[in-house]
Amino acid sequence: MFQEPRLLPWARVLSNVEVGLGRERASADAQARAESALVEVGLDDKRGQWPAVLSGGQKQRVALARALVSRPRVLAFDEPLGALDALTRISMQRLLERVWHDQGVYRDPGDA
Amino acid sequence: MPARVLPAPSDVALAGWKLLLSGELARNIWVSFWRASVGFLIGGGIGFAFGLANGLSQLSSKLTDTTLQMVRNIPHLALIPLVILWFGIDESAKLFLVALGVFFPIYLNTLHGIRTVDPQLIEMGRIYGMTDGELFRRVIFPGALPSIFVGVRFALGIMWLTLIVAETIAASSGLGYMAMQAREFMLIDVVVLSHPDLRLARKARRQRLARAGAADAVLASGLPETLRIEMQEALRFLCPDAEAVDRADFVKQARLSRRDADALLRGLSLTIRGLRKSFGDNEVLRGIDLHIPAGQFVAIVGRSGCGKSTLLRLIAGLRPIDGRHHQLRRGHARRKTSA
Repeated sequence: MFQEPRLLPWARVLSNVEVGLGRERASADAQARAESALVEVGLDDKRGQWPAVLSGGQKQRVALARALVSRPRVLAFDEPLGALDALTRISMQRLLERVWHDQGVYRDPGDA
Repeated sequence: MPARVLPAPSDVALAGWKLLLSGELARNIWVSFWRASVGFLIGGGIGFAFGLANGLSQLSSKLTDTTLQMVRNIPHLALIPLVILWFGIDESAKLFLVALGVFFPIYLNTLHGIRTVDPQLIEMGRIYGMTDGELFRRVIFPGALPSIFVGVRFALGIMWLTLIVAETIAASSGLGYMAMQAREFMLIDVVVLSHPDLRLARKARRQRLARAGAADAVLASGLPETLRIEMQEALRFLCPDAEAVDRADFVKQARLSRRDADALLRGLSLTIRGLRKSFGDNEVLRGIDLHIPAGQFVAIVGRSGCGKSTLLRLIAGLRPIDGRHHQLRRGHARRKTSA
């Protein structure tokens, strides 16, 4: 995950998450998986929105959903919360902690 | 002001109305429109194709870009005598001039658009395993579209300019022809009626020239070099044995059974020895040693600009690593359940 959200501005939120599926993008359950990843970061109601209408924290959460959707075994975080305000950062840290517990992902973050 | 110099707007409107009633205006507009569209499609299509090829392929760019940039500086209207020699005075000469005129704005802007797609998005696409085709379809092409449309807008202006000038030389129909006929018979009101688009086209041409100058400056200032080649080199450094990091290739090249490979990939650990990286004279990383066993949570802390992001980019394979005495291995380790 990058310091910036790096969402495709010309794709809806849901397609942006599908990008994270890599080679499995063409599989039949791609959309369902992307939707469940959005539920995980609490943005399932934004699936049809353009990235431009999201706030900074919401964009970063979409980027997180994109990173998680393929159930990766290693996640590298390059200060993904650096550009967020204090309150959003705290809620994102909680979100990351919860996801870490739920998925048992092993992480190598630059974000302490 | 005498009507010989500039007729009153009412006279122009009246002339327009008369020509409209006689059907002459509509017929000439239609003929010009047809020539303009066909010429635009031919020239724009070729310009678009060259723009794509030269934006995506270094080889193609080296072979043709310089030549095209050279030809671009020849005013295409100055070629009219030659074009008459080559194509005669029938339709093909006019189509050729229009096609030549619209070729360059579309070519330049397509090329510029593709080369200036946000490199961060390209990096993102690579990380998430997009193939070249997907990267083009989902990232590069949509990113270049705004610039391509700018090219189309400039080309539309040039299209009318070229056509009307071309029609003043040798034609028996079209807006330019109508203006010429009117001049012959001193029908100033008809000349003015035929030419508002001509004046607009001149304005567009001036803008295009200003813009083309700006585009050249950007192209010359050393755009991010071939990111793709850089990434391929990085991959080769990271996995000297494997050409690709695709799972199927991994199984094949490492001569493992699928189950062994899965176990290996699941318990992923990371070992780095003596990692170096400099940008020019600025040495950012000097001999980094790092071992992360599987299941470990590691935080990298440091002041701004100390190379944290660089380290992560090197690990992700987005940047080539300096020197050959480094070792960066994705090794095998027993899986730990994290809690």
